[in-house]
Amino acid sequence: MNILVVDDEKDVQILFEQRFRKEIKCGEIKFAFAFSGEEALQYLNDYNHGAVLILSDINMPGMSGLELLRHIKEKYNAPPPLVMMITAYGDAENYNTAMRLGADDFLTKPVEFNILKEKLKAIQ
Amino acid sequence: MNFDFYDIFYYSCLLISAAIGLACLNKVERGFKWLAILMVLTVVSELIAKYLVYGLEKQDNNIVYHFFTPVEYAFYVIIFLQFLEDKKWHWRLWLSAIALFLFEILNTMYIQPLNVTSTNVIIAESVLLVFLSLVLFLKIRETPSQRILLREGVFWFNSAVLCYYAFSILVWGFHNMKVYNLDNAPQIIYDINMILSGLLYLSFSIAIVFNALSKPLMRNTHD
Amino acid sequence: MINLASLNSSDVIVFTLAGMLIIILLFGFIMYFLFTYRHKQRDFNLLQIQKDEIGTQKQLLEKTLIDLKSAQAQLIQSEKLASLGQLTAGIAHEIQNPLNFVNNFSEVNKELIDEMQVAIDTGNISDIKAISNDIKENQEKINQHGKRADAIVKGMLQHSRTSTGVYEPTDINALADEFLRLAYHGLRAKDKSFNVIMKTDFDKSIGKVNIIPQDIGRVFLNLITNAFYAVSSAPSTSKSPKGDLPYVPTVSITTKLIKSPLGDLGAKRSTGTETVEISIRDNGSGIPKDILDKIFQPFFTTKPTGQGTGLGLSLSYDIIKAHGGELKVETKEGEYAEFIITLPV
Repeated sequence: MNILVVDDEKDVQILFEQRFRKEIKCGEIKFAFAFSGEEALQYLNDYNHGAVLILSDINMPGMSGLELLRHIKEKYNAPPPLVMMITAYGDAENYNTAMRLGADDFLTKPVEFNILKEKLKAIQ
Repeated sequence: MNFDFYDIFYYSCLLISAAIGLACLNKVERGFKWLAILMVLTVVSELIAKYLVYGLEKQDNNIVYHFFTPVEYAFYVIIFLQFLEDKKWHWRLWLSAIALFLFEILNTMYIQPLNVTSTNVIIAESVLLVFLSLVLFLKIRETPSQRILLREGVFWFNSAVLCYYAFSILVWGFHNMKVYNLDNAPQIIYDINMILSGLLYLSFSIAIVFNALSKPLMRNTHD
Repeated sequence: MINLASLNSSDVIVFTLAGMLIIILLFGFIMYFLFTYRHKQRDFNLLQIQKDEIGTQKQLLEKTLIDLKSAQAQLIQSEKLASLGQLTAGIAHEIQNPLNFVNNFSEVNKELIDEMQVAIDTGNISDIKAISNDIKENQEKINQHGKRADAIVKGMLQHSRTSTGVYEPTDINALADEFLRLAYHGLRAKDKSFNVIMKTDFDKSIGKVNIIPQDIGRVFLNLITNAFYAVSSAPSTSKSPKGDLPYVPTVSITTKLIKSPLGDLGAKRSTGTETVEISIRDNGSGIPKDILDKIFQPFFTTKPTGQGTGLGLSLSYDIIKAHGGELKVETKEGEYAEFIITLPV
């Protein structure tokens, strides 16, 4: 499973690599990291959405996570990758907008990696 | 001793007023304290005068008035200085007191020796005092206060001084004129003078009483 | 009694006449005196009444002045609180991130330690070494992010404190950058659709400048927030010069160190003076000419009622002036607005 993680914080990459070290070692999951919405779109263009799942932060400088969500759902729809929003802002407005734009799930930070792992298992 | 009506009037006024002055000594302002002392001194001078004539059987007691007149003026200076709070009057008035004193000496040496009434000095004193009272009137006008003027001790004092010493100039001037003409002034002049003197001291006592009864018109800050 | 024999009639007549004259004069004088005195008394009383009235008016005015001053202080405080409130959302976000990492990395380390215990049991030395390295790295990250959160909180406390008024050598670039980020996050928290390109051009040659950091920080916050507000409400009214291109809201901050030439006219300085110029420019709708001279006035605002205190620019202006600097604005309606701060070094 290819997962693209989009977050402006660079330490997110290290975190994911640590929390999923087993899965990465076994080759169960392959992670790619983008540090902005633009980078994420670039990646999707280049790799022709090899990513099946996209985990994106909402608050990022430049293109916000919600805009990225909209772009992805509009352009890439055969089949559309799953997009889950992970963000510190867990308020209703953000949630509704994300859902309206087609987000498949909505998680709040701090990320409970156990729950995330379960959700990923459910997808597989 | 023969006292006529005028003597009795004068002496009783003087004694009553001096007594009132002493009685109110603690309740009045500084100026009026000195006024009371002046009246006591006047009593003393009169006693000395009477003693000289009746006790020592001298011819006359003019010598007393020779001494007393400048002293009396000095006291007036002290009193007026209390009411005129301005520094500039200090040296002016004391200068005038010294001048009067010198004039008295010169007058005694050259014009009116000790056995003659020192009317020149009295007239000079009277002129000075009239002038002083006018100055004080001016000052009263400049600093009006809330109260009725007729209840102010200073007003009574000042008016009394003005009226009495203005008349004094008339009386002794007239006397001098007559004496110059080797004549005698009619006795009534001196009688009127006695009455006026009595009234003067009575006015002083009224002034003292008014001052004792109320807050002062002229505020003497140091008491 | 009266000795009639010695009476000389002409004497008496003269004396009496003179006496009466004197009596009349004295009486007249005293009457005149009493009359004018009463006049003076009235005038004096009037003056006293007026003086008393003036006295009460003065007291009233003094009290009003005190009330006004305290109201002013309250308003300034509420303005500060308002700006602080704006920051809170941004700061919350800022703190959230490092805290996340602290939590997550600690959890990772818990798992790693479990793994290490297994490895210890199996005696796999190389595994143990590798895992312990990872644990160590993670701890460093935890430490790093903890310190980050600490710094953010300290910065926020500094901002909320009433200004100490103490001049400290401060890195202007860092201050501007910090408040830029804070303002951005703050506004984003309120308005998710808010998006802006932020350009920074910091002159690295600027050393530390002696300023009161809380105050200048407040000025930056105010100007940056104004710039953000201008670009977020602009798209409908401003057109980029190239007509059809979409409007890209941009806010740029530039810092520059300016050395003035030696020997200004009349200035007897042995060395040139240096000034720091900080400019905050937005491509919003600019400032109309007719309000340009009013913007620095207290309580002047173009925002709808309840949205702005109108004190931001006037406070900023005062702060800059107190630092011996200048706050100027350059603008072109429909195109841009630029606020330029100059501070002496």
